[in-house]
This record gives sequence, C-alpha cells and structure tokens, in this order.
Amino acid sequence: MNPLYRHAGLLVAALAFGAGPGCADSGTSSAAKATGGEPGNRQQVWVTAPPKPNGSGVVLKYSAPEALKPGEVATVKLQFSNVQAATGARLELRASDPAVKMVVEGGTVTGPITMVRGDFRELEVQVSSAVDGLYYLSVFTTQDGRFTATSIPLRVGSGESKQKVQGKVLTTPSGEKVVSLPGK
Amino acid sequence: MSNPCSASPATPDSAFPARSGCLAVLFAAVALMTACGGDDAAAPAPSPPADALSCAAVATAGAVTVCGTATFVSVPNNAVTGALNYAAASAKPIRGATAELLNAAGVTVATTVTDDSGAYTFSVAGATGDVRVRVRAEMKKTSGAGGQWDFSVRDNTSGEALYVLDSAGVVPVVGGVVQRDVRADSGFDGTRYSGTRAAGPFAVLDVVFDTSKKVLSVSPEQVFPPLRLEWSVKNAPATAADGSLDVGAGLIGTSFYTFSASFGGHVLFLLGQENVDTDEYDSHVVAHEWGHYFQSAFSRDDSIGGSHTLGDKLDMRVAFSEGWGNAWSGMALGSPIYADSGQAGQASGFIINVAQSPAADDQGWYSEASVQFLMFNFNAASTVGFGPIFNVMTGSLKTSPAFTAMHNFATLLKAAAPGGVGAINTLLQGQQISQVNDVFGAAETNSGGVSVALPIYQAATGQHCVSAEAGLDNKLGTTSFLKFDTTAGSHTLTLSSINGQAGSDPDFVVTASDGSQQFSDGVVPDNETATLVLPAGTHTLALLDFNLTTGKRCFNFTVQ
Repeated sequence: MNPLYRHAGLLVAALAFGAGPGCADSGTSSAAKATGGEPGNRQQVWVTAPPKPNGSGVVLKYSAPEALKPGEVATVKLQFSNVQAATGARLELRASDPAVKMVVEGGTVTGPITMVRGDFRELEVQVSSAVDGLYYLSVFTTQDGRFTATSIPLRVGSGESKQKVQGKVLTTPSGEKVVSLPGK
Repeated sequence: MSNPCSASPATPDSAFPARSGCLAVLFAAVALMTACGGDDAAAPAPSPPADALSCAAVATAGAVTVCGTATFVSVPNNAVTGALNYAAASAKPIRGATAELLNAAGVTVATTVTDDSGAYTFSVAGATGDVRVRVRAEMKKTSGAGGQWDFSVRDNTSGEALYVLDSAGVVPVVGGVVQRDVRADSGFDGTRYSGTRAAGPFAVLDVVFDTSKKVLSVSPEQVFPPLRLEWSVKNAPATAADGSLDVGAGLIGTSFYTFSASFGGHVLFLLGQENVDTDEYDSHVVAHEWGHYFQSAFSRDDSIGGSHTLGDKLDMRVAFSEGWGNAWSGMALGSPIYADSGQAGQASGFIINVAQSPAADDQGWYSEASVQFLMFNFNAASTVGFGPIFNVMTGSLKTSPAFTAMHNFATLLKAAAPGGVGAINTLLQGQQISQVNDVFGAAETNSGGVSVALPIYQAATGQHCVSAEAGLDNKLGTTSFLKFDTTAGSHTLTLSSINGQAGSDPDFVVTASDGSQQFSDGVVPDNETATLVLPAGTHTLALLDFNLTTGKRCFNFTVQ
C-alpha cells in the first residue's frame, strides 16, 4: 500500500517506487518538488506549485526570493504550462495585502491573462513592501471552469504573520492544549 | 429552538449507537480537583442569564442539571457555481462531539456526547458554582461495542491544539435545571471574515460524522484508527521557498491526506486561507480526503499520486484512487455535487457532478471521471449498494495480485454482488470498459489512443514499453504492467533497456499473488535488478522509467 496521498505530489512516483510505505516518513514535501537552481544563479530555486485535486491542471513553476528587506524590490518569476482545454486557461495575480506593491511585466500587464491550448507563458512580477510581515502573492489559474490557487510566500523583514489568531490557545488543568473558540 | 432532549433518536439505518445527550456521565471525583497551573479558568465576568428553558431534562434532587444544544453555522456551496453561499447559512447541530461541563477553575466536572440534534445534558451531584459548556471538535469512542473512533480537528499552526467551543457561564441551582446553548459562528460579516471563524472546525467534524456513519452503516463494529484533521485559517496553498511543506506555519501545499510517522499517523490537512482557498465548508473536499484515509486504513491503494485533472488519461491506479475519492464524497454525503469554493470572498468555485457520465472522449479505465461515475452509480444501484463495495474495498481488493484499478475492482465487485452483475456490466459498457470478468482486464480494447496501453498486463516475455504519449509522471502509458509466475522462494527480477536510449532509470513495484508489495528503485542506468522472496503464483509488476521525458522506451524483463 502506498500510504502517501498527496495529490499535489508532482513526482510521487519516485516515492512510491522508492521506499514503499516508509517513504512517507521523510516529512519533506513531495507536494512541491524543488527542481534545482538555474545555471548561473545559485539563489534561484524553481518550485513546482502543488496542484489542487480536481483543480485547473495548469502547471505553475515559480522562483521567488526567500526573504526581502523592507522596501526592497524583488522579482518573482512564473512559468505556466499544460493548457489543454479548447477554451484555454485564465491567469490572475493578486497580492494578499495592500502593503504589497506588485508590478507585472514592468506594468504592461494589469489584468487577467488568457492562455490558449498548448501555450507556455513566463511572467516576471516585481514585488515589494515597506512593512515587515508575511505576505503572499496569490496566483489563480482557471481551466475548464476549475481553479487552482497558489500562494507564494513573501517574507519581508521579520517575516512574521500579522494574521489574527483565532480563538485563544489555552492549557487545561489536565495539561491539554486547546484553542478556545467563543460560542454565542 | 427545538427541544434537544426530546430529539428524535438516530435514524433507523444509523449505525451509530444511541448518543443521548441526556445521559451524562458523572465526574464527581474530578469535580473536587483544583486547577493545576493551567490558564483555562473561566473569565471573571459574571455569567449572563441562562437561556430560556426548552429542553426536557428532569431535575434531580441534590444535583445540578445543565442542558442545551450545540450548533455551528453551516455555509453551503452554490449548487451551480460551487461558491460559498453565505446568504443561505444556517445553524446545524454539532453531532457526536464530546461535550464537557467546566467549573470556574476550568476543571471538567462532567462529560457527555452530543446527540444527533446537538443536544447535551449534564447532571452533577452537589453545588458547582458557575459552570460553562465546552464542546470539543472531537468524536471519540475508544471502547465498547458499536464501533470505535477517534477523530479530532486541530490547529496545526498552534501546536496541534484541539479546537474547543466555549459557552458563556451559567449558574445552576441544586435540584434545578438550567439551559445553556452554544453556537459556533462563521465569523463572516457579509464581506469578509472579521470575526473568529469558530464554525470551521465543527463544519469539518460534521463531514467526518457523515463519512464514518456511512462506513458504520455496513460495518457496525468498525474500529477506525485515530485521525487528526488539521485546519487553520493560516493554512495556505503554499510551500516554503525550497518547495518543502511547513505545516506549522500553515504552508500545507493543498488539502491532502497522508499517513506517516513524521506526522504522527493518519492526518488530513485542510486549507483555510480566506480569499484564496479555504475548504472547511467545502464538505466534498473534506470527504474526498477522508476517502483516502479510508483507503489507507482499511483497503489498498496503489496510486502513485501526482498531478491530475478531469480529462487526463491517467495511470489506471491514479484514476481509480482519485475517482474513488470524488465518488466517495458523493456517496457519503448523499449528494453527487462535488463543490469547491475559493478566491475573493469565496465567491468563485466549481462543481463536478459525479452522477453524470463524462463525455465519450473522457471515458475509459484510465479516466478518473469514469471511475467516479461508476463508483457512485454502483453505490446507487439497488442490486449493488455500498455493502458489496465496502466488502471488496476492505477484502478481496487488498489481496488481489492485480493493481488497484477498475477492471480489478469491477470483477471483484461482481463476485461480491452477483445480483448486480447486469447493472455493473451495463455501467462498464457505458464507459467503454471491458465487462469480461478478469482482474487483469485482458479483454480490454480501449487503448485511449496510447500505443503502449494494451494489453494492460503484458506477458513476461517480449518488450515492455513506456511512453510519454499522454503526458509524463502519472499519465497513461508512463507505466508498463506485466504478469509473471513463480514458485515460492527467492527470485531475481531484472529489467534492462533494449532500445539504446542512454540515461533510462527503470524502477518497479511488484504485487505478489497474495497482494503484498515490494519496491525496487535503484539508480543504475538502464537496468534494475532485485532479488525478492515471493509466494507461488501469478504476480504483477509495474515498470516505470524515472528519467522518461519524451518518446518511448522499452525494456526486457527476466525472472530467475
């Protein structure tokens, strides 16, 4: 039995044929397989975005900086492929927070992008934020009516998430850790 | 509000044991405990008045009685677009969850289980002072007849803390009855999640109630291995910069199920990122992943995973597994509409109707759309139903020498449901799949347009070719299947490249005649050799070339 059901796994075949049931114990991601740096750029790692079960099927690979300094402008590179539908595919980019400035292809792209069957598309997105935090560049692909969302982390400065904590984390008298959610 | 203690019992076909919230367990000894350094004491604010009494709990002399109903706000998907329809939100009961009564020090003084209406009643001897109700995002029954389970919804970004829903306090009176209801709200204010998303964990738990109930309907004594369902509002379809997962930070890639020691056993991660992709209300997505837990815990799944979408011509093992997941969600939830929401305001989405046959060019044994259609309709067929499906999944499929795929399953299902053979064959025919009873599908004539796809299992002799015609990784033709026979004992299996393309890396997995599996994935170019101990009989082997990028590569196979 192959115990690994990470639908996102790009090359789970390698795992399945590799170590059998124990292969899932690595704890590392097969969901998005880093495909290695580009020649001449040791910092750049191309990541295959985890595909969503029943999602668009559009394959997204990207390279993004591990971290940014506040105010620094960095480039996120995107590659899109596997457009098979006769009606093509649609791409859309959004920043998770108004604090993130995003410029696509030097400002020449300002809205959703369409791809036709068989297309391969590359995009460069300049991102920056003056404020520390963990942000995301969200990439939506739609094909045959189904969508896949991918969030590319942008760690600025401290890189700490400003997302509000849900409920209150407590330790009970018996020592159990719980998240207490307020009932109405 | 309905009267919780006069709620109807479980439906007649329910295999869950009676879960009367009106039968509380006394924890008198625990009531005397003091808090031991915890920070879970009740807030010092005075308790608000009790809710209007509507439950039918009976007062007990010398005891305090607290009753009420636990609910969560459920948001349905739009049946056409899949988007979340907040305008149609409604309160639903939190069913089968552990409920506790806590004293002012946060100590549990009584515990029970909510019934099918979400109702609970606690009765505690003596005075308790202020108390509050806590409903745990947990279904747990680990002893006794009538099945056993341990499902919990936790926050992977808060140290896997268990979600609990806490009511306001209430002051019970000895010899009297007070009511304290508790409701988990969605936190959505009409445009965004501005409040605590308290309902999320309970929406997830509600799916688990239904999926486990479906299993218990045909296997009332089923013992489910523990499953943790990890959900957080921080869970994003994201990875770390190097592509690895960081579940503690919410970088989970996508909603997925896995079983591994590093994750502590069976675990299911679910997305929660608002305005991007959040799955707590996408019940079919949760059920789909639970279906993979079912396969892992009780059946056999030979899927190699990987990217897939409807319309792909897939490795038959992947098609079977993913088709099962989609079909199972419809079977367990009683609705064929698989819906998945996302994007801004969760106002977009899509649906898949698993009861609907795919188009002719998407039909076949390699199509997950065909598999999901067939599975759903096998379940719906009056002459088949879920019982035989369950029996095959948990029985003969596990020990079959063929890989888990539709020919294998359908043949075994016909044996398990002889009265349904006609219906099964009709459905198979409608999906352009051979009806001949043969787990290896030798009579199959539908190649999907892939030159190496047939016969599905080749004889050991001759060339065994893999091809990128339908795509790479997990697509039809990238794996070659073959059959071979051995006596019991140790045998050396060898695959060697025969068409001279440098750089091939053949690997294989063998399913033995008893259903057990062994893998071999050496890195020697153009060759793979392994010595395996096998039982006597017919075995199968799945061959892939790890380095296949284009075209076709062929191999010789020998067994000694």
